[in-house]
Amino acid sequence: MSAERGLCAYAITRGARWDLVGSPELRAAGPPELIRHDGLALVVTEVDTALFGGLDAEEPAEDGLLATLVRDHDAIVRAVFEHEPVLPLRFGTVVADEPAARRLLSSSCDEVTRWLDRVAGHREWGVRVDHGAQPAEETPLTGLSGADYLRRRRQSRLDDRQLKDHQSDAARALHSALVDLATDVVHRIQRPQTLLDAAYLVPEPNEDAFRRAAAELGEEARGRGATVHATGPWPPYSFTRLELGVTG
Amino acid sequence: MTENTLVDLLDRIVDSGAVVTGDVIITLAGIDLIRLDLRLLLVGIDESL
Repeated sequence: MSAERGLCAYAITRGARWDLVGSPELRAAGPPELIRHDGLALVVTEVDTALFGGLDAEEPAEDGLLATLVRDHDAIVRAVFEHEPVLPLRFGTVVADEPAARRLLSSSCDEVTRWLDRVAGHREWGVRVDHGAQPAEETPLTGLSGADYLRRRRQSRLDDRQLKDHQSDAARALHSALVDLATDVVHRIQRPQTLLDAAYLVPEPNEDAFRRAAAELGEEARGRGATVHATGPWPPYSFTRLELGVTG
Repeated sequence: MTENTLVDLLDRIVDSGAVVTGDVIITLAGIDLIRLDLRLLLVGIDESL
């Protein structure tokens, strides 16, 4: 194996005796394979590591290399997720070769098995609520005295604060209903205008109730001018804060 | 729920996933920098893609 070849690793799953049924359609990666060891399986494709050298975050275009590789990553993780609980690995994880893959599985076996048991039967759903401005009123400023203008400015700033409070209340109500239906929740990195950006790990029997609550209370927040963006179902991407250290 | 856009996908995937460390890993030059750049970019943009 030349120095530039490696195994791009996407996920760890249980090492059941199945092949990737209906292998996903990939744009850049070759067909995924499972490397099994100690009851676990690492999902990999063989790659030329130089491929990642062309990545550029500046312009994430729909047909760019980054988008292509990220879509492949997601397609492979989802293909596994349809059959078995899956632990997604960080995008751009490349291991040296098959012995390295086996070492990874044997040294992380207990931790990964516990993690897979915990997320089994769950899917991730995302909800983000952003503060929305009130529709701007088209008030002609001509003919307005200075005092009137300042009064109006003060009034509209008060309204803005009230509006933001109302939207925050709606976001809190939405979150508290959703969190009751979830096994776990992760708050994601927030943008300046974000009132709520959370990922929920939802057990499948709760999914209908979760979607209903998200729709109803999301509508409530929208009614107050906030924007609500819900996504899912996802593999449990946001619940993967663990580090698998391989030594020796 | 809504169709996943490229932004949703990048937002979900680029920062997540279990991290593997140790000598089994081939370190890719620049990938951490791309992650950081992308994080900054995603915080700044909306669903404009």
